[in-house]
Amino acid sequence: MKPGIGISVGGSTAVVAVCSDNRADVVANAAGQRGTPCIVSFHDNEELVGAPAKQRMVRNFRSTIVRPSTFLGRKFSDAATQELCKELKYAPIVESKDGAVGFQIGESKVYECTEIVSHILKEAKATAQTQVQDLPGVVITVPLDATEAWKTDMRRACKLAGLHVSRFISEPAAALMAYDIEQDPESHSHVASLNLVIDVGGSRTTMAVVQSTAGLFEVLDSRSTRDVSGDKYDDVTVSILANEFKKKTRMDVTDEKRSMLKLKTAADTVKKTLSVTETAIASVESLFEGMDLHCSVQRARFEGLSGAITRKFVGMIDELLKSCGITANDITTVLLHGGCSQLLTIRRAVESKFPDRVRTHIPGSDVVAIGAAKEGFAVALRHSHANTREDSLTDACTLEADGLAKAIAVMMGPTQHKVLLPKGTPVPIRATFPLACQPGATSMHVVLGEVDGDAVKEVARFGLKDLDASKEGAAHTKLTIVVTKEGGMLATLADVNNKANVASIVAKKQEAQ
Amino acid sequence: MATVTSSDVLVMPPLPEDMPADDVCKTVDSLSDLIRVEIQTVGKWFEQYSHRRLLSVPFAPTADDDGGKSKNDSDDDNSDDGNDDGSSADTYVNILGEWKDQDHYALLGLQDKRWQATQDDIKRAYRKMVLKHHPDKKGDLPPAEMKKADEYFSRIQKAYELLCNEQMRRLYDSVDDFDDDIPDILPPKERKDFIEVFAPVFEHNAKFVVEKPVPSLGTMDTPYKKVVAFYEFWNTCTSWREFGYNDDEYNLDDAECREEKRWMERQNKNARKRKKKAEIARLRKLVSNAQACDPRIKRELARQRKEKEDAKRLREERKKQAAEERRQKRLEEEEQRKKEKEEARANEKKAKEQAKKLRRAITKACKRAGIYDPENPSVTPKVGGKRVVTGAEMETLKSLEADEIKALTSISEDAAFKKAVFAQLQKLNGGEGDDDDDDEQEQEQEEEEGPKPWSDDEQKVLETAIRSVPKSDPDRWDKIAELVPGRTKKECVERIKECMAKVKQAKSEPPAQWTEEEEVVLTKAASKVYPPGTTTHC
Repeated sequence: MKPGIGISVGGSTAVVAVCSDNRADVVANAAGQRGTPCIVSFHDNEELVGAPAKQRMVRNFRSTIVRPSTFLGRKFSDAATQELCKELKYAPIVESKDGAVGFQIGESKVYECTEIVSHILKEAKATAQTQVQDLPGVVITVPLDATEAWKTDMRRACKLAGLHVSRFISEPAAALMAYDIEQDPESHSHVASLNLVIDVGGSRTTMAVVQSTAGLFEVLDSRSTRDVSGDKYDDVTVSILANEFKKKTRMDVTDEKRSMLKLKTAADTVKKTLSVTETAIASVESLFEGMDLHCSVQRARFEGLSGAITRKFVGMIDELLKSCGITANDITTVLLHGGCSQLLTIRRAVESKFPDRVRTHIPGSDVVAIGAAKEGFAVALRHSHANTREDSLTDACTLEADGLAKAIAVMMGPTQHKVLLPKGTPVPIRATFPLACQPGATSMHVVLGEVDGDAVKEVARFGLKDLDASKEGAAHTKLTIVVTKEGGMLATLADVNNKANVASIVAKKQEAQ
Repeated sequence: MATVTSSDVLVMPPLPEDMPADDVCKTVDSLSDLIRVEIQTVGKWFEQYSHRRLLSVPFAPTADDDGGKSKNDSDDDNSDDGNDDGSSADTYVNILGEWKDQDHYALLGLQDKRWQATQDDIKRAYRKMVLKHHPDKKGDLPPAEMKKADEYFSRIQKAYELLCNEQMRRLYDSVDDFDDDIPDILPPKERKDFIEVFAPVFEHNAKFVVEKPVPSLGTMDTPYKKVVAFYEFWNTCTSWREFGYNDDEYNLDDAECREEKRWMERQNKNARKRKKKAEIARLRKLVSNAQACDPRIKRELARQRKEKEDAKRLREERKKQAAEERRQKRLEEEEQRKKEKEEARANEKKAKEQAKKLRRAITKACKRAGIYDPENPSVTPKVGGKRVVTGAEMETLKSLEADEIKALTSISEDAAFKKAVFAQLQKLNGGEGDDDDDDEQEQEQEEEEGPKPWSDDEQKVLETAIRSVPKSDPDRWDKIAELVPGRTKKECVERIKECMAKVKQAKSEPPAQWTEEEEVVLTKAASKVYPPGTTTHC
């Protein structure tokens, strides 16, 4: 059995995970880190990727490229690109051939965005190869809002890095895979589970409501913003530190690029420390004109200043739920992942909204890669069966399928109903439900209907007599509902104790009648 | 598999007492139309779902549903387990008859591979079948069924035993599922179907060929070389086919005594040999039949014939052409010769005429100069290269007007003549002539400037020669030249002229200037050469 390899190239970090025997774990890179920073720098014809590049970032910012993957699939002339150019103060961003985004290093050398990403992928490949020599096809995670151009560029980068992509999967789906949501008994139940997947990354936050039916996921709605991100929290911390420095030395460092970079590195540490302890100590040597910075930051101060960002974050969740037409109580599970999901203020905000339903036990930055590796394993598992056909699913993260227009429910009483198959359940499907008759009764009446809001339209009904109802609490009959590809329904009610005692009905598709 | 199983037990209300029987089971309405949903391509459930969708495999019944299967849903519920596993209990291979007649491959589920199955395949298939059909696995069965199962299992074992034994397997493969027919030579009309007819037969027969890989018949466009190689292969290949499986003439078990058994064995052996021979003959026949009607060979032969003919034709053509050329050349040469002859004749004539003209002109000029002697016209210089103007005659020419000389020379195209005349004139007039002839004149001058000095011996010889040749001889100077070895005619003439000039000078000038010796020699010479009585004077 081939292991599954998952690679997630996020905005700020790239993570590699390997899954074999259904156990997935992140592979540490050569520097011993679980995540490789998405930073590439060029120094004296030497190219550095990841931690070494990050270390040199301050000294060498003119030839350092950060977050190359955010430029994938973008043209240089795009408004978003221009905005990013202003934000990132590293290697100059220039127009490469065909209007693609390029980075200028030194006087004349221009590297294309895909080329830089491929360097990171090469690093990821080398990391994966420490565990698996003979790399099978890898699963690459894709942001939910990735365009076709993004995927094309990513594919090209993978090709440059010598990776064979077996599948692209979206990040929320990968998160669901990582937490084994599809294998939860809950997700197989007659009620669809609604999951909220929140990714708080270094440069942006994405959240999506995903419905899981019979192990199949459907993204109902999603939101994405750059206003809530690790960077924004960093900015808050940087301003705190800069103010402290100003207070002590009466010197303003906000205009000094190199000092600001140093502060940013320190701010990152402070931000993370504050999630664990009440106070964090920041110390930067020779920040500005030989002066050191040494100060402590209180969590309260940080939270007070970053409150606006957190409020924006909570507001976004509310907006998303509203647009899906659900309340916070309808959400079964909340998956919080991403590099900055560890932030206490974020976690608290989510936990107060969805008490006891938030899952964070996998380190936030590892989640997506682990999910991708598990998916890689599932793909390998399927292809290990001889009679499978290679499909063309690798490019798209989603598959268009037919689903039920309305939920199928069983009538529990004159007014009550219980949804068996929720709206949007992909067909064909086969579902089995154990049924019991009321105490003392020997017969059963089953009425199936379609639920549309509160209204229920009866579709079919059938009953079974002569049941042996002696065992109380146990299932007496099994109801099997099959919905065919064409939309016809077949329902069978069978006595578990007597094979001959069966009732079945067929509801064909309308045109067929 | 998008299968949903729930562990929660739902409690259902009982059937209403008063419900009419018809109303209990009925379809009230159909489901609403389906909508499009976008599902994420992740997870093992998704893998199964997409697989099912791609293959359009209907639902498999789960084990606990089997009892609930009704007629209605049997269409939907075709097992897809069947795909994994070719022969389930209901696909028992028919095992009627003797075990030797059974299909060993089918019993092991290898009917698709047959003779191409490897030993590994056979072993694997056997283990699979054992797991499935072992009597211990069958559980409780009625005795009759049990017996059948036992029999079936033993058949599987027999099949395995046989196929495991390479020798026996070869015997079985030799007769197993093989069509001995070979196509006849195709009539010319049907030969365009050659490949379609013969290719499958060759492929079929390749089964028995020992040498691998077996080349394929190819297509109509296969190069001739390959075609030849193909037939070469088939003509030399050996077959591993052996006979003796189930088709012996005598069954050894029927023998009543040892001798009879041995006889039977011998008979069988001979029969096998015969069959093997027949088999080889059959193969060769197949090849020869194919060869006989292979349009590619025919095409190639036709091509070769054509090439040969072409070459022959070309050769003949070349020969003809060469002969023609030769003839033409001969004709041309003849013509050329004729022409040359005519030309020569014409030239001669012309030269004669010119000489005549010149003679006349000179005579005229001489007349005018008053040196013409009608009685001795031979003194007038003869021209045309035969006779050169002598010094005396030239004296007469000296008085000619320049334009007269020009006119004189222009009438003759004889270059030699011209040259001679010009040389003379040059000498006489002290260098005046055509520019064109400058070079020639210079050459002449050089020659004249540096003549070989005459030795006394030569002088003597010359004098005797002059005396011996009569004056009337037209070729007098030629003859003289011949008599003087190492001297040309011109030189002789030159010398004589010199001597004469000296004699003349000696006569006109006072002798004091002459030395005694000279005087003697000169007088002697002059008197010898020109005896008194001649018109020529020094």
